Amino acid sequence: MGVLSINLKNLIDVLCPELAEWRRFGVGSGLRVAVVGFGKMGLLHGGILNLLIPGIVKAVVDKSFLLTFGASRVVKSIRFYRDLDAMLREVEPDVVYVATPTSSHYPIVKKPLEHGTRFIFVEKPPTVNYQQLQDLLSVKKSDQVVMVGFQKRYALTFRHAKLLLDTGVVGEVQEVYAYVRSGDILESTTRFDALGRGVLLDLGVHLLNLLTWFFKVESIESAESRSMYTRVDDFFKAVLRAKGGARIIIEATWSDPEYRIPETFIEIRGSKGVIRVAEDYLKVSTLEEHELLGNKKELALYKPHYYQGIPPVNLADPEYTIENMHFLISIHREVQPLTSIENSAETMKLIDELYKAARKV
Amino acid sequence: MVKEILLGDNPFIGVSHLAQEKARNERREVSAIEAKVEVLKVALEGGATGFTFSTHQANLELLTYIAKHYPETLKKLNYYILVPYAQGYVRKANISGTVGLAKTVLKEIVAKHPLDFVTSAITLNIDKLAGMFIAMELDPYLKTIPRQNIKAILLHEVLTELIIAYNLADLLHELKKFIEKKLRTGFGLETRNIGQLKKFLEENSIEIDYIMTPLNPLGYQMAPSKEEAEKAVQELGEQGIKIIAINILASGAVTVEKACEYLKQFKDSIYAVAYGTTKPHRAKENAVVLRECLLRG
Repeated sequence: MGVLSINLKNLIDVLCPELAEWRRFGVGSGLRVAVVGFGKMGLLHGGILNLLIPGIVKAVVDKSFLLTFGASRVVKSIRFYRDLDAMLREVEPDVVYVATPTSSHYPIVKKPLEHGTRFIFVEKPPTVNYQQLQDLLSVKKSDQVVMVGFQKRYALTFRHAKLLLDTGVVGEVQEVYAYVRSGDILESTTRFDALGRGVLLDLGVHLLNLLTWFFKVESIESAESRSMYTRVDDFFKAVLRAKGGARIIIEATWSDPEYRIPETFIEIRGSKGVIRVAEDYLKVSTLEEHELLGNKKELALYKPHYYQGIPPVNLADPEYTIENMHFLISIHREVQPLTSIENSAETMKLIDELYKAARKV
Repeated sequence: MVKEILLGDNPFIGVSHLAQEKARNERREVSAIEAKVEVLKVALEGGATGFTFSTHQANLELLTYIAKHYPETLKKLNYYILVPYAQGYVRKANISGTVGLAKTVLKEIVAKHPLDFVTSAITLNIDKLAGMFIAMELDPYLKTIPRQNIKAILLHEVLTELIIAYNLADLLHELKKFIEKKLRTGFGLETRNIGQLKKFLEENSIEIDYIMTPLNPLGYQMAPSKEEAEKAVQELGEQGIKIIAINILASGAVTVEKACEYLKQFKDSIYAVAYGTTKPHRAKENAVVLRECLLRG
């Protein structure tokens, strides 16, 4: 247990093994990456990859003439395509990043899988529903890797919470309250009409991915959704039951003006204490002193404590860089990433069940 | 040598790199415009000399208010403007999609700069559009703030990091030319990847006036590592680039005294330090401590 005591340097090594592996292996050079979808997430992943390994992004595909024409005049080091098949044929990328709108993930991921591309990264949610995910799994060959962009799993605060939970610092879990909130949708939009699903799929999927990682969710007790600015769910609330009997209350909204950027929060009440964790912080309060809390009953750590001179690239939140490092390391080591498409099945199944159970209010 | 102590706008617009929870509380504390004015005024009393802010609507409202009610205060400050306010565009993209956002921005550029837009379109000079976009963002601020007090226009970190990542040297040249020649002010870049930025500038032989970058004892937001970022700050400072150190308190995780102890080693390399707060007493105290520690002695 010594290595896990509250020595920050040791703690970070435990929480973020990607850092040591990155230094040890010097991964990624020689890989040819293509990005499909050059919106904000495509730009972000391409940017992080190029900052980690200059010039690794070789091609971009986007169906928009405006974007591909404009970007090709500015970005000289990348080949731009509007046709995915043409890019796959001509560039033969080792890695394809799919960062298009959710509704197109399924047909787009299927193409490089069928083409034989070995490594594919798809932004969250991987598909619109569980059935599409199962279909992709049936197309995927055993030597192909598909990683899903559930980047909260790469945030050190959540990894720390999982470590404390698994070590029993707060005892037996009794109740969980969790939310994901943002102020992204505060005016009417028809953008999500075709998709037919809203905030639970778009943001709530992060929360469910974390909760299914933390706990074994066994049943849904109740679920309700509400529309405010769209024809889909702008607000979603549900009560779940975990193995062992703990109640899990979840809320997801993208229409809360108080939240400038999205925040994911989980409060875990156990028989010996409470863990409160978000992307930005971890706060623990217990009845007993614990070695993992520095032999104290309280612990509060914030982002600046976790990310001291790490990760090696700062573009958006640090978990995005760690996520990309994790993927490149997985490719180098030929192992499945933490958030492989196989590991995402439980989350997507729960999403389907919640939509099915939800009462519209 | 450290020449300026700047007040930063983050707490005014609900930004905290410590925790969003803190940001929401701070925004409530200064929800009244007079509360922000008070913070600025007492920071000035403590020895702050400037205000660094992004082109967020709330800052325009604040500066317009100060221009109307406290014109003397407006004249006393130097200004370092960060452009654009990136999160605003992220939010717009969430509503209309990236292509929808691009079309909206292009329409606005056409409306404001029709002739320049036509020239840019005929010559297929897309880089030039970036200058027009920046001008459009800055326009209301340039009409409000005394021009001689605007010391620098700096590109927001998201833009800087993407310029490095996608090796957009031509775009950077165009923006630098536009800001220096058309706006006649200093040009700078904000970055959280100073090690990578230094390499990019050297490889592309680009000279800039200012770099704004986090510098704190924890190494928070310093890349590719704390040590490499420190080395880059020192070397860039020695080359004559004016370094503006931001996030010196590691978003509130360290005290101003600890920050001062740490920053002393960079006294010869940095030009200014910035700090942010919503509390008037802290606005003054921090300015006093930083001044004592870095401008004197």
